[in-house]
Amino acid sequence: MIAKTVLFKYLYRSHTIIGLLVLFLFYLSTYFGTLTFFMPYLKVWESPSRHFVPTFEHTFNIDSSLESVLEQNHLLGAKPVEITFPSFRDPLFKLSSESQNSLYFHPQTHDVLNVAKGENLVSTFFNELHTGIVAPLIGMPVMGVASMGVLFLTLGGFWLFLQKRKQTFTPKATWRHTWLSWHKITGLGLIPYALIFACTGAFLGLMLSFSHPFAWSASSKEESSMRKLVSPILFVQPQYKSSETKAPMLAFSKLQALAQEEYPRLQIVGATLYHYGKEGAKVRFRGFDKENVAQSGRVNRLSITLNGVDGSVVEKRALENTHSISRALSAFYYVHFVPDETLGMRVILACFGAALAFCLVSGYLLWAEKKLHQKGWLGDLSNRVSIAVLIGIIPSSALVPFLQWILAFDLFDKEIWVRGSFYAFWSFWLFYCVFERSIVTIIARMLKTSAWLLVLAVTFHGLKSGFFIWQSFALGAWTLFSMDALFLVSALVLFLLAKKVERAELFYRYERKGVFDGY
Amino acid sequence: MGIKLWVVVLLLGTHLFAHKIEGLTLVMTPLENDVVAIEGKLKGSGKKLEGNKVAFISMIDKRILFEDFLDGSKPLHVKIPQESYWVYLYVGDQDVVEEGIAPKAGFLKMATSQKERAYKTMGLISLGFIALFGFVGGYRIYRYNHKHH
Repeated sequence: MIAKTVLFKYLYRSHTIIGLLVLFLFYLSTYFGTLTFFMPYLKVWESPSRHFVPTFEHTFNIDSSLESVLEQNHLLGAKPVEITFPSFRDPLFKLSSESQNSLYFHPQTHDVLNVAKGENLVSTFFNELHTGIVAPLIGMPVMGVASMGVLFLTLGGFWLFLQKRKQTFTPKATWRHTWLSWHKITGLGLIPYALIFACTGAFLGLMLSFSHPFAWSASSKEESSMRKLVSPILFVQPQYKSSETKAPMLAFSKLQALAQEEYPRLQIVGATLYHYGKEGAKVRFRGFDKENVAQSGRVNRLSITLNGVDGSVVEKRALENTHSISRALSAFYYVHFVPDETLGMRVILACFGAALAFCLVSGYLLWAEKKLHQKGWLGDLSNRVSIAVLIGIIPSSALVPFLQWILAFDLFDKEIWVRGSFYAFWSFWLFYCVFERSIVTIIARMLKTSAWLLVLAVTFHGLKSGFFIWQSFALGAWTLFSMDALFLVSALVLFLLAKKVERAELFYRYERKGVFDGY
Repeated sequence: MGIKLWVVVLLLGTHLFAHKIEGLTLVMTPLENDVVAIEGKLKGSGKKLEGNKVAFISMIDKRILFEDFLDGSKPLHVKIPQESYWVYLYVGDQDVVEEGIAPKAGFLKMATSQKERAYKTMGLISLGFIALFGFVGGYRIYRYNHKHH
């Protein structure tokens, strides 16, 4: 009986200590990870090149221009050329080759677009903040360790819940008990979600952070993004013999139609050209199985390879032909990245993400309540720093889409100006938290600033891109419209929250003691 | 404080990820008669890049002064422009950018160097706020301790 109590005490203490250690980092990862669920849509919203009204199902046809484009851009060499078809992830048509510059095409006009690197600055930055890769070398492993900590918290928390339930417990109506019950409700409800994302996140953070310099030095073409990092390592390119003799190719759309006919279950997302325009040319169409999306995710793409000259099938890589490890790995990655899922699933996952963030915050508040009743300056100061991190991140990240549209797109080093402003603004809130006496004022100003920044971001987006929210609605540019609407709704929610904070008695409690006592 | 260290590390990260690609260098060698040789190299293997687009972009008005593709076998020879310029090397969705070297007689039209300007400005502002946080926080603790003893 004593042993059990000691074990309980130790586990209880370690739940608090480890919780406090990993809370802030995991909160940041959860916050930006939740935003990252909307990345495909954010990518369209932030990029002027992707501002057009999409026609039905991202149609395109480059039959007439493919060969000349390849020649003009020095892409007819021995290296295979990757084609990514327009999709909900990116409405542009993309051509790339190993460590060569990528080319983008407008899917309707077929013009080659000059897409500057900075156009996807917001989504790239948020994704890098989510993975922790923004901090060189240590960022990703640290995020991985934080995820392991959360695994411990989830399982340990569950054990604590089971133990505590056996004891007699009389709840008192204090804030501590309110936070405890919310922490328990969200924590228990999110066990599957937290386990899946923390488990895959720990694996990705710790494993990939060590393979990432390797992949980088191997200089595969898409290094910066985590998701893109996974594929070149696990995809082994087939080798086909080259030939110098030129040969006429079947039209690209004809080849695609043939591939679809041979493999109807394949949802084609892209193609790879081998020795295009020469004898022995091969075209591989890749994609996922319409009936088994999870097992044919980004690390286990299925494909059908056709001869470019006569359209005969060279190789077919169907789901049954893939290794079971690849299928399992694909399913494993799938639950973290949800690569081929569209809006519905993403909204549900984002709601879970928000709940997880709340669970982490309520965990902090439990500890803060205890410190509130102790003398000394530590509790007060840690509350202020925590507000700067946990809430200060909202206005700081709302600044990023605003700056994306207010600053000129050809501004040199725009990426650094924007990223730097994010850190500077965040540091400002850190300072403001000790400068301003009233905690209520701090929180309300943070929330109101975020709301205004989002409204301004939508306004400047309209002014500079020519797609105001009502225009997107009238034209049927639904991605742009929904992103604008999402920003405006978030702004409204933040504004209402700010009003609520100002009225609620709860937050005034945090102002009564500590550094500012009798000031 | 942990948070200070964290922000400093993040700022450093911002610096490292700007117009640079790890393991890849843009080599510029000045030759005679105001000509510059451009090459892209992988640091580890020393392998030369091939087929990548290279552009000279004016620092004055951002117009394209020159554009061509790298040839794996020999470096690209380009006449040095008469105004300040950047050399862009495009790799995937990223780019490597260096400020171009001046001709022997100097540029006719000069622009102020942008090198590390954004990084230094924003870094200074961030660190300024963190220092302010330190001062104000320290002062508050000092006052608090003073009152309670």
